[in-house]
Amino acid sequence: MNQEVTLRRQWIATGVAVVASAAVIAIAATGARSEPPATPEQSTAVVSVSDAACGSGAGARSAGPVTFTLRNDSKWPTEVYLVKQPGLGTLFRSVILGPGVSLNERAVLGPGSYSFQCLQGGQVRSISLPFAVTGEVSSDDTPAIKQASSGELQQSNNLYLRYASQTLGTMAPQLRGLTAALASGNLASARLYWLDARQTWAGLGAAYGSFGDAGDNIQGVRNPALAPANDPAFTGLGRIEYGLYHRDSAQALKEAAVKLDKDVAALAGQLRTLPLVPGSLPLRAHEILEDTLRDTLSGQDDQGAGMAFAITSADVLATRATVADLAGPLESRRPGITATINTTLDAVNTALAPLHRNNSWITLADATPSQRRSVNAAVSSALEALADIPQLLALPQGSE
Amino acid sequence: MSPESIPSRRRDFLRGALTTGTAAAAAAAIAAAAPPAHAVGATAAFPFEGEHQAGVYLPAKPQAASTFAVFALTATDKAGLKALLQAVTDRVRILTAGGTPTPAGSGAPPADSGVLGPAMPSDGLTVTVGLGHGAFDSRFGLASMKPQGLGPLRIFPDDVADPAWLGGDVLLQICANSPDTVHHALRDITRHTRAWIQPQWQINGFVSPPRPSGTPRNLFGYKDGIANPSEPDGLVWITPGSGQPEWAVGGTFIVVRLIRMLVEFWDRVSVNEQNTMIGRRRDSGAPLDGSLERDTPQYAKDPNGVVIPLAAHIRLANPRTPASDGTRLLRRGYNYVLGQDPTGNQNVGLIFACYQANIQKQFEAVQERLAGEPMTDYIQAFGGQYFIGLPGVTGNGFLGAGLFS
Repeated sequence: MNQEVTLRRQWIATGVAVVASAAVIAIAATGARSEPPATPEQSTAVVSVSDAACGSGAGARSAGPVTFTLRNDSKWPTEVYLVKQPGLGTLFRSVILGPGVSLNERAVLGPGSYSFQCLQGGQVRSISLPFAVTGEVSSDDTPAIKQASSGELQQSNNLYLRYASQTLGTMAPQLRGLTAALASGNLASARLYWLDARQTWAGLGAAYGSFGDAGDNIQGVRNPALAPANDPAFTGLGRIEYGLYHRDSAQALKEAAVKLDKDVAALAGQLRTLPLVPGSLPLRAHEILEDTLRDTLSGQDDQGAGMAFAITSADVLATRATVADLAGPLESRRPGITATINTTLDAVNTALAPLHRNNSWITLADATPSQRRSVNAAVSSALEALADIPQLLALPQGSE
Repeated sequence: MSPESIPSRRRDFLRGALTTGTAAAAAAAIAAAAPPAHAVGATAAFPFEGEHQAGVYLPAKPQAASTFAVFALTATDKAGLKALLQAVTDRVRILTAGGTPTPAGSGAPPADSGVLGPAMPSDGLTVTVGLGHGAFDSRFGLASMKPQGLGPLRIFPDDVADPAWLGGDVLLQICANSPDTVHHALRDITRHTRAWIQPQWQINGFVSPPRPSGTPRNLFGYKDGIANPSEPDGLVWITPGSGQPEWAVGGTFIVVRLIRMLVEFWDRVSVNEQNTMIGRRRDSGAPLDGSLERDTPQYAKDPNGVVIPLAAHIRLANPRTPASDGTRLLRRGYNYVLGQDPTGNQNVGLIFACYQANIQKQFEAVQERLAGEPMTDYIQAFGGQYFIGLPGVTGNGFLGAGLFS
């Protein structure tokens, strides 16, 4: 599972570690053996996946809820989709079933024609003969979502990289201002430049780990076992924030600012050509604000400035950018979803409005419980809406 | 009974004239609350629809597990409050019925947390929803519909009020046969309502099994909750003509009061003194003038309090006189455990929840009688709030619909 977490956090495809192989996931999937079966429903069917055929055993049936027991009788780890004809929209995606494994999947079938698809290594290997479903359903039938492809998401990635490159470009003058302020010993000015740069970095959507070591050096990641002053690996924006609010010498911070400037320039140089993991942008669309809630609005990542709301504001911008970059693939699957999401993001800005004048922000510690609750409500409500994005645009397992 | 006539408060020697202090809103709970239900099983289900909400008289014995989750309204207008109540109604309807959640399909995360397995049992779940006075402030345009007597929790002189545990706009009283069912319900409801409410305080409670039989014991070791008014006594539900707004008819006022019990101190007191403070025997639960738990105290035969002292908790809380009859209230007490405090004592006590048609004439009247009772030294009320428990839902309606018609 740790590996899966790492995969999810990484944007950059840097070799084997980030390319999920079907075999690796299949081993994890065998854990599903111990899962208890779902309570029997009115309609059940055992569907067999074999080397000869995908999904034999699903005959014509009535509309309504159904539990399929998917059983992999083949020699290969196999992912099984239930798809609706025409268009092959997906009702459910199984985990990758190891040979000999069974598991239950549920759906509410509306009238129409359905098939099972079997995938190995992220590629469709076979599809069952269609089976007919007739009658009406009393509740909403399970929607059929068009399967996303790497090529489709690559276009969104390209849009994002252009945005990120432009955004990172605005950091350079901010860091020059920071360096100059530190060189002249003007800490008040340095704090303002630091906040500008910190917000720009957040606006990139650089949820931690996003750009690997380059990103960590810019963001600044503390070793929790060390005091910041004794942690040579603690650099970048975080280290400078710590120093600005803990009476470090301007001279020492200036050196950190110079290094930060170099690190940003190095990332900017690579950014347009970074090989992003194709499926990472849909994850990023909800993880930016997940990090906001977990790390920023909790106060956990604060190094003294208390600028959680300012950073939240920038995180909203980054989220808007990723949603906009994904708008085409999203709207083709669920029309209106981007407007719905943007309404929830507008609510975050509304909650933040009383907490700042221009770029002068109330600190997290000075906010009233009521003010914090308003921001938390808006961010967590937006997260519920954003959580559908990775599901709507999930790639076949192993195809990344 | 005037406070001055209370004879036996242990600390009076140290506190001088303190006997005039009003005390222990907490205390009413400690010797009472209906006996709890047990072994109702995972399939036990209480209908959501009805004239009144469940979780008050239904089920008759409180379920073993509970949480009292109190929220601040982050909704900013009437439409938001209405949307909240509709969403809560939808979820409570689904959760209390139990069953297999409708699958979310491939375009959304799972519809359910899975904490109760693939097919969630109803497990005796009830969710009782209340609104605090804040729901009737200027934000929502409902000031004219505010029930009479609904304000902030009254702080009594011996309370140790802690702002972190006081106040709140919305109560979700969630009770079930198992703690995981309580957790599951709270997690589900908050998932669907994040924009409109945010947590303010929450405390989990449990009802102990009978030891060895009869009414369960509280953390003082006493059988707690032996006597409660029955539903036909008419003391709990808000009725037409009571002076309350029409929309509230069928509802009830819910008082939640958090009462710490100083159990280490209590344990250093002789059982005879404990018994005279409570008015019952610790071993059997019988009143001191009886021999069985269910025996009724005969105060008229003991006007001077020779057997059951005049200041005994059960005697002050319910003197069983014609004048005190209308002050009775329905109690559902839950024990809580919150770890330790800085002095090394356990932070444990009672979630005192009571239900009545009139807060001032019932809850507050009882507390005023209890002022300065001997047990005051062993308890500290520190939090809670007053709520209007909404009327029940019939047909396809939603909780609090009468506020918007």
